[in-house]
Amino acid sequence: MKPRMIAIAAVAVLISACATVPPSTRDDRVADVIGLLADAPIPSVVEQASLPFLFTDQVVSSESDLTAVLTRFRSAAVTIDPVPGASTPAPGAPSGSRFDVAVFYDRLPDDARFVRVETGAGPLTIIVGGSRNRRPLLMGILRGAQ
Amino acid sequence: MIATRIRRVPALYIVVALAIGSAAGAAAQDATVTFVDGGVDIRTEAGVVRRADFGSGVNGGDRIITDRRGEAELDLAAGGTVRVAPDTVFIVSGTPSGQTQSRVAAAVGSFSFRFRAAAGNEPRVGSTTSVAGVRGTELVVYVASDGTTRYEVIEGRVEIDSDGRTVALGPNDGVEVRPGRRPGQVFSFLERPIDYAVWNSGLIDEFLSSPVDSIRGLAAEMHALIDEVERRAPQSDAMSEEARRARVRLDEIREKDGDDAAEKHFTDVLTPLRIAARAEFVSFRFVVLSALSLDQYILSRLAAEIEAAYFFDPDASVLREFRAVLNDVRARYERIVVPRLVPSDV
Repeated sequence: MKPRMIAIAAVAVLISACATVPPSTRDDRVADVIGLLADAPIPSVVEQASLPFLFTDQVVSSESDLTAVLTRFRSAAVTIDPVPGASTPAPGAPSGSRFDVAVFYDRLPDDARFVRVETGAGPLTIIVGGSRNRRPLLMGILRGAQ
Repeated sequence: MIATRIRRVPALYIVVALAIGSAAGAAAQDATVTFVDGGVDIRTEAGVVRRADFGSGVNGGDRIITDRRGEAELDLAAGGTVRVAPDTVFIVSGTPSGQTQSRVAAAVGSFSFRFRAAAGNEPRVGSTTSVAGVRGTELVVYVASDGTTRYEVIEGRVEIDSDGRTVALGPNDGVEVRPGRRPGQVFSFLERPIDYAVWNSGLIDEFLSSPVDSIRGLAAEMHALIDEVERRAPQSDAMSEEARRARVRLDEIREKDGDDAAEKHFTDVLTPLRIAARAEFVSFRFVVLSALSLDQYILSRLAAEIEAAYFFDPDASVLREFRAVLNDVRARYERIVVPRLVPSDV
């Protein structure tokens, strides 16, 4: 095979591999989402979020509710480090979860991940998974490092 | 973390109830969509979500959910027209039958209601935390994210009972009812018009200034709904079971006594039982959905707001007190209401 053909084949394999890597496992894409959470206008954050959304242990069901909750969170939050920390596959619902929380975890996509995020007031965990605009969807925000 | 499975619901109850629902429901719809603009979904009693369109049928136990730009108008079979505003979750009950009276309510958001059938058959109108009796009425109902319900009467008369006090409203009168409290002073709504978003936001700010008092009022409303679910469940279950047995008996009669006897059993026994069981189920389901909606759209929203406000101070005393009241009522909700739900309800 000619070297040129080999190079084209290699590029094709690389492109197809990239296309199948979920955005939730790519640090640069996750960093984009954390960046939105840190300082983008709230409507842009909501645009990149999915519903229902898990905030601590409360399931938020509507876009207007999520807008209000994220606005409140933003006003209480401190500086958010846009670099993603440790990332693990999202686990199942915590033992003893309420019905709505158990349903939320049950519906998480296979590529959903917990990502640790550092802030000036301590760590938090975001849930990311799925994809929109080549970035993972923001699916939840939890207190502390999970 | 330990993975947990979603609790199993009493499958027989759901299957029988839905079978009765689909059998009787196929005969008549409880409302028809006559206008749609923007995003409007119908979440059916079976948990299926479908986009609303002109002419879509709506059955008792369904919910109409509008997004920020969605609006819908419904013609109720019981008589009356409902216009559902954007960002609203609206619950439809069935057509009145026997002892049951139809009800229309919003879990959150707003709607206007105009009654145009014969007087004496008016539904009960309101929210998950407040209900009004109406007579020959056109009114607007607003339900805030803290459960406060505001009524504005355009025509006719409205009576609201809450916490032992009854308030009568006539044309141009308005009143606000906070969860677990007596109705406020009657006012002329023309002199106090509201922008829903501003009104709602102001009430949320008030909630955050005294969250423990607010959650106690909402917990009282939720306990009342749970009481009703607990009280009515045996009757609903018994009627569903009776209809199921009559259906089994139909096959036995056909086998033993032939088609004519089976036809008679179908007409004289099974059909009336199915209709009665359907009416009871839809009426009961309305109460179950009211409890679900109160939890899903009011309690969860308020809890998320206060958790957000104290996100980096999770041991704040106000947050602890709030959680204690909320966890107490939710424990009872999980025990009594949740077994009546399926995952697709949420």
